[in-house]
Amino acid sequence: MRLAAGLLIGCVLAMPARAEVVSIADAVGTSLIVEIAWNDPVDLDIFLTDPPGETVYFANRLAKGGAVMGRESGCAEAAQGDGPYSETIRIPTALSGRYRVSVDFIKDCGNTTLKADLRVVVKSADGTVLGRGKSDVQYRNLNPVAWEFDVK
Amino acid sequence: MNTWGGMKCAGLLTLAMLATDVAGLQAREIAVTVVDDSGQPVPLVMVTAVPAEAGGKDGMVMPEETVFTGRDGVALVTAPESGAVNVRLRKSGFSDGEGTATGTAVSLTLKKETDPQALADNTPANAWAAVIDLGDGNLKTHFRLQCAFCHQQGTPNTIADRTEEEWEKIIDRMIRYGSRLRSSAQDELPKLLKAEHKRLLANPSLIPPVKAWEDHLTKARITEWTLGDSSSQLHDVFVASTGLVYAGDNLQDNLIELDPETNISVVHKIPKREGDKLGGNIGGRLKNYPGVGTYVGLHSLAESLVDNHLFLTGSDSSRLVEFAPETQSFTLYDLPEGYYPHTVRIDQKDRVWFTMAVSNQVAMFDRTSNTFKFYDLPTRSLKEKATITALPVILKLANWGVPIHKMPIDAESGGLPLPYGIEIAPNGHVWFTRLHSDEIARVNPDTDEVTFFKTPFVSPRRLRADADGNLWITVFAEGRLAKFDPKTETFTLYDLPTEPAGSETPYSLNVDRKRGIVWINGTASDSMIRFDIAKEEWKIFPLPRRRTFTRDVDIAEDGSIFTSNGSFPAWHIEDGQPTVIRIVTEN
Ligand code: HEC
Repeated sequence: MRLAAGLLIGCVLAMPARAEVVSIADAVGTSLIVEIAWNDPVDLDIFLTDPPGETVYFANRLAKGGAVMGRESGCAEAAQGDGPYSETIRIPTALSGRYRVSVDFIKDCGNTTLKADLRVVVKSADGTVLGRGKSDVQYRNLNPVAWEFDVK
Repeated sequence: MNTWGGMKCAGLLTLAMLATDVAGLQAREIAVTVVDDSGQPVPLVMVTAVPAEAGGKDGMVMPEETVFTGRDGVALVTAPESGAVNVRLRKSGFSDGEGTATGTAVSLTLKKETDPQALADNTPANAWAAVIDLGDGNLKTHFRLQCAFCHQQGTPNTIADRTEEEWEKIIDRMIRYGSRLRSSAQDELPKLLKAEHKRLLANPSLIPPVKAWEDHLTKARITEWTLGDSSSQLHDVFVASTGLVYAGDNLQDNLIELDPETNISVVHKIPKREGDKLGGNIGGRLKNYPGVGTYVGLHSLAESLVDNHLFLTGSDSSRLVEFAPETQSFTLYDLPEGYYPHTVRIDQKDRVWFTMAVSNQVAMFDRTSNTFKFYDLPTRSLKEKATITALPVILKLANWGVPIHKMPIDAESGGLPLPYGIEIAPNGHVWFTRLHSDEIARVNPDTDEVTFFKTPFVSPRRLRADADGNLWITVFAEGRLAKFDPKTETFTLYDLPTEPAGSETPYSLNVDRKRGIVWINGTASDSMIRFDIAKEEWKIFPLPRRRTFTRDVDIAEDGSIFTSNGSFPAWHIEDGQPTVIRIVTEN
């Protein structure tokens, strides 16, 4: 059933949205928070790949470059109440270079949603928004390049 | 067909200029003396010298050098003429030592380690993986076959106290990448892996020791060049007739060239075609990798004996890629049929032979007539035949984002027979393995006859022929080495010397035909294993970086060997840094 539904959707869906790379100036060495947020009651997972190429996510919680998994939301949170839901990764000391945000949609938590829209935001430690973007992710597919930003 | 070129001329010029510079570089020898707490010399300590300055000039990669102390506790390392050199010491049963050498001698102390946790942390992953108890031996073999061919199991990254749900999600991702874990195992493993990781994390003393290092190491010299980054995968490695070494970065479409004499490396970007998709056109398997940068999926390399051009398989684009070193240009060949060109070798008649892993074929590109020939191989059942026939549709669906990895995988049809390693024997016969159907086979190019031989073991991965035409095969999931004699059509099995016994998952091997030596990848145990065919004698060479996952080995004219750390993901490697490694032995 699910495969058949996925098949139909697969035919009509375009590639996930891809935004311009955002530049964040004077941020090398500062502390940053990357957050994804979404409204559908499903389990999305944030992945952050740092400039040396290591990815932090729920199964690799701490990168050698310092980035560390923060808040997580899964099916338990989706069952508990209304969205928005969010996940975060903290970068204690930002490195110079490109960071890539990828998003996966592994579990639908019993819902029929096959594509989830999401928002990405990068904040400084005091909460100032340094960049924001939008993307989406299809059920059981990683959107490898949901959003990218350059720390300068 | 497209030809690309001309863009590397400036690079060539700089390279020539740099080479003259390096030639003038003097080396110094540093005597490193290692003693223990009581001042006694410690023999067989792995001493690695890491230049404080990584390179300096564009393209220059200063290598790290590793040697082992003798009975007197002294090791001599070579280093650049001046400047500080960081020295790292390593030996089983001791905690790592460190120091800096500024002159030509340094004395360092190594401390005994007694904390079971620290000892377990410093033991190669095969020890951890050996004691994971999945109850059923058959399931463990399947786990070794389907979970140990991209990265090691039992590393700090895989070991964690995770929930069953997290294991389920991880396994879901692994299957998208290409693990063919059968459906029943997908159901069973989350619970078992959760329980086993919890048990072993709580009891580090259950992690057994590995084999103690032996005297032959005092004559070995290991050189390691850092190439690519944590999003790279240096899959296969090749020593060209020019002495240049090439490694293919499977995740970033880079053909990385290294001159081991001058330490200069040049990156050749494999061109893509308009419309190519990130992650490849064949099911978008690698699109699941967050650091993905590939469109082609560079896999294996071989050299033409006629014009020294390199041929590379582009697995995820179903392309053959030709590289002309003299013009540094690429030619792309779109294969007229089939999926997933895998290992490639070139015969004396300049025919390029390669396995087509997913479409169950062996293919040949005849350079003289510019034509392709495909050998469709038999399937094991109607179900398997149906799967292979449906591939064009299945892979198209995957390209559209339909989650094909959720199709059930049973032990047979879902497994696909998987033609894998390939080799040209001295008599011109072409041999290949089928990893999932436990067979090796011979193609006679004169008659086009294909003959299969069932292996008395599971998972024949890659193979090579020796000077007498015998085939040497890695038995991946059983941790053994096999020999096949084509004259008598018999197999001989050898246990690998890795300890704990049977804990190795050897990915590949190569045969030094001139010297009668088989070199085997100690993929699970951070090592290379040398087998002297005539003497039936084993030697293990531990590699400097923890989590060195090797998948290929090539042999230089002088008998030294080259391999690459191709862990996928590369961040499992000790410092997240892929490398090309050379071992020089006494021979
Ligand atoms: C085809 C390659 C491949 C195979 C086969 C494979 N893995 Fe992985 N594995 C990866 C990659 C790449 C990652 C990095 C994280 C990601 O993208 O999910 C990873 C990550 C992991 C992690 C989390 C640690 C980390 O650094 O992210 C665990 C645990 C793991 N794998 C276990 C397994 C198990 C269990 C199997 C067998 C079912 C398996 N792997 C088979 C490629 C593979």
